[in-house]
This record gives sequence, structure tokens and C-alpha cells, in this order.
Amino acid sequence: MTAIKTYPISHFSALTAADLERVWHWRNQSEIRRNMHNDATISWEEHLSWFDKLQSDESRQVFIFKQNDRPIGVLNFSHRSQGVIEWGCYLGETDVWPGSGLLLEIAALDYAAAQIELSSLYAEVLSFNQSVVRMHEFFGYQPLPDRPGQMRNDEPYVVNVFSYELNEWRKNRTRVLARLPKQICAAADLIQFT
Amino acid sequence: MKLEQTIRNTLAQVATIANCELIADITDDTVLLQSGLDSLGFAMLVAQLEEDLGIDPFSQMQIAVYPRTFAEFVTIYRQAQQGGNE
Repeated sequence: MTAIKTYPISHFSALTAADLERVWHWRNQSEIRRNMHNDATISWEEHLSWFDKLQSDESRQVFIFKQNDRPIGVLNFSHRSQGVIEWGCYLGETDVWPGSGLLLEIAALDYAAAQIELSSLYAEVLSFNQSVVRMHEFFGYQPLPDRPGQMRNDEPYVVNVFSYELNEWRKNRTRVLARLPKQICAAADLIQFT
Repeated sequence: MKLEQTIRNTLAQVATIANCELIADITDDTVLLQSGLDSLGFAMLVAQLEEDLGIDPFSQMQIAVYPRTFAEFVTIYRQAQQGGNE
């Protein structure tokens, strides 16, 4: 007999004031900060100021990633140029469904591709964050010239830059997902934005 | 112990395939997301363990809290093998 399988619902909703304290704690975790352009600890006042500006900034969208109604991470987008948005994300919790990072990657592409006026999705990754670099390469992001980085933990790094032509995702989503473990494909069908 | 060794062996195989560098010593308390295996690697690990063990507890069991550490990951597979659903 085949076992009945269920997969987590990935729900993305706009960040609200009620999420602020949780996101502040997530963002200040060392494992999160180390992969950010700005790795300094963020004060509560700075966090509130960031949220305040976000309210009146139509060029940026920040979503909370809920897995079966439980908040586990953040997905954000910002307008970069005509037809281009930049994205970033992190998982704030460590006890998550295995493969949740892939769901963030798929959600970002789905969200951008659903907006017909957008032509490409832009991403920057600090070069030591190799797991994300590999994931972008797996999905078929095109590398752009690196940008200069600085020093992190006494080691130099550069900023790896990537772009994804959204028409490619619109055409090839099914083919790309078919290369992933089948439970990821199934869970990708349960990605929702509100 | 056999189950834990199976998981450790599969973890090592998947890390090689996924081009991930695991940390030197994975203990019971190692946080999975800090083990060196990336998200694709974990998805591959779960898929390979389903091939090897015939179970995918993350889609076949009602899991209230997903595992954070290696020990918790092994425990979930042990419960699944025993037909548990805790």
C-alpha cells in the first residue's frame, strides 16, 4: 500500500508590525548576519526605523515565510531598475522542513515571474556563502561580473552577482523542478503569496 | 545504531554528490543547517533515505516540530521505522 504523503504549505505574507520582534531576533543571529552585506548587530531603534521607511517605500516588499502557519524566515524584494528586481532571503529558524531553502529560491522566482512587467531577477551573494552560490547555479542563474567586497573574519571576499531571465523561468519552471528531489516539486505546488 | 550509521553513510555520500563540505565532527548536537550540507543536499538526503529505507517521515508523518539537530533527525527516522507518529 502506498503511504499518503503530505507536504508543508509555504505561505508568504507581507511583513507586519506584529512580526517585527521575531524578525529582529532572526536578523541579529550570527549565522544570519555573517552572510549579509551589513554584518553589524541591528538595534531595536534601527529596526523600527527600517520598518517605518518600508511602509512608505513601494519599491520594496518584505514577506514572512510561514511553513504550515509557523513563521520561519524572510523573503524580500527591491526594485533595482526598469524590469529588474533584486531579492534576498534567510531562514530564521533552524528546525525546518528539509529543503526549505529550495522553497525560498522557487518562491522568489515564482513571485517575480508572475509579474509580467518584470524581465529579470537579480541576486548578490557574498562569495564565501557557497551553498547559496551553488543553489543559484543549479537553478540556472547567469553569473554577472563580481563586485568588490571587503574583509570578513580577516578574509577577503567578493560579491558574486547573478541574474535570472524570468522568461526562462516562465518557460522552463517544470523542467528545472523535475531535476530536484520529488518531494521538493510537490512542496513547490503549495507555495502561496497573499 | 545501524539506522544512525545508515544515515551517516548516506549523509556523506550526498555531501560528495552535492559538492558540500561537511564539518569535521557531526555529533548528536550538531545543528543540521550548520553541518555543511545545504538545502539541496538535505532534500537529496531525504530522497535517498526514502530509496534506502522505504520511508520519508517528512511527508508520511505528522511532525509537529522538524528536527534541528542530527540526533533529532535520527530520532524521527527511528520513530518512522517503528511506525510511530509522535
